[in-house]
Amino acid sequence: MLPPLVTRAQLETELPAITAWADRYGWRAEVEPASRLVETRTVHPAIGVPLAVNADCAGYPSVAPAWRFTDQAGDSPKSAFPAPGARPGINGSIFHPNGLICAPWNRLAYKELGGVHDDWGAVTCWKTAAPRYTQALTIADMLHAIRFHLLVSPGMMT
Amino acid sequence: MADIGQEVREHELHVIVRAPKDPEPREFAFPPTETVGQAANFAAAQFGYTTSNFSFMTESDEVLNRNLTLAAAGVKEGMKLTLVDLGGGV
Repeated sequence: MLPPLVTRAQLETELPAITAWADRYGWRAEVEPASRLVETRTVHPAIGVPLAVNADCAGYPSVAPAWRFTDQAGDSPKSAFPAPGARPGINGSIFHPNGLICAPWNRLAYKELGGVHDDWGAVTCWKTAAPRYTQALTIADMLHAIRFHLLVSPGMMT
Repeated sequence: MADIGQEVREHELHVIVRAPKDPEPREFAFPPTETVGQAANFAAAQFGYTTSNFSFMTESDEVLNRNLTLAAAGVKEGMKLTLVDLGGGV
């Protein structure tokens, strides 16, 4: 496992971009480099309900963060997860019907960590996995991708 | 006699481009006949991105068609655009 100090330094380096991105789009973002957590809050653009999407960045950037939508209790039921939406020119939503952000930059998507993808190789190869799909190598880029797909989400999963 | 290079530059569109990973925007100049995809990929490369599936998103969250020229996509002088990777999920 990557030493925590490396992840902490990486998050501190990325903090200005994360803060600038969140300010630009009206998201609340809290980055805790020491605990390696990124916690963000926004509202669903279609139905206005509060959303929380968090990243456990332990091991980042050697491995991708673990992204989850959570409810007020910090759990990740499907009801806390946005429904997938369609957008012309995009080959699919990152919001998987099983309640998972299905992207190579979410380590929870990898089979070896309980996800659905055994075709993306090792979780340590996340930066080059699935090149035809969503790509994001920084936390701000990942948030940008989440927002991009959230803009066409029709509501929440049931 | 007008300098041809200067004339070409005068017909370029100047836009302000933001990238998620950089707090600071950058200014770019593109011919209006360049496609959105070409311009977005060029801008992305200047920001250090190594993939090539980018488009621009306007301030009102409209995603521009990568296949249209900048002019046809409605890009105007001084417009503020944000890079967006069009990759989907699976």
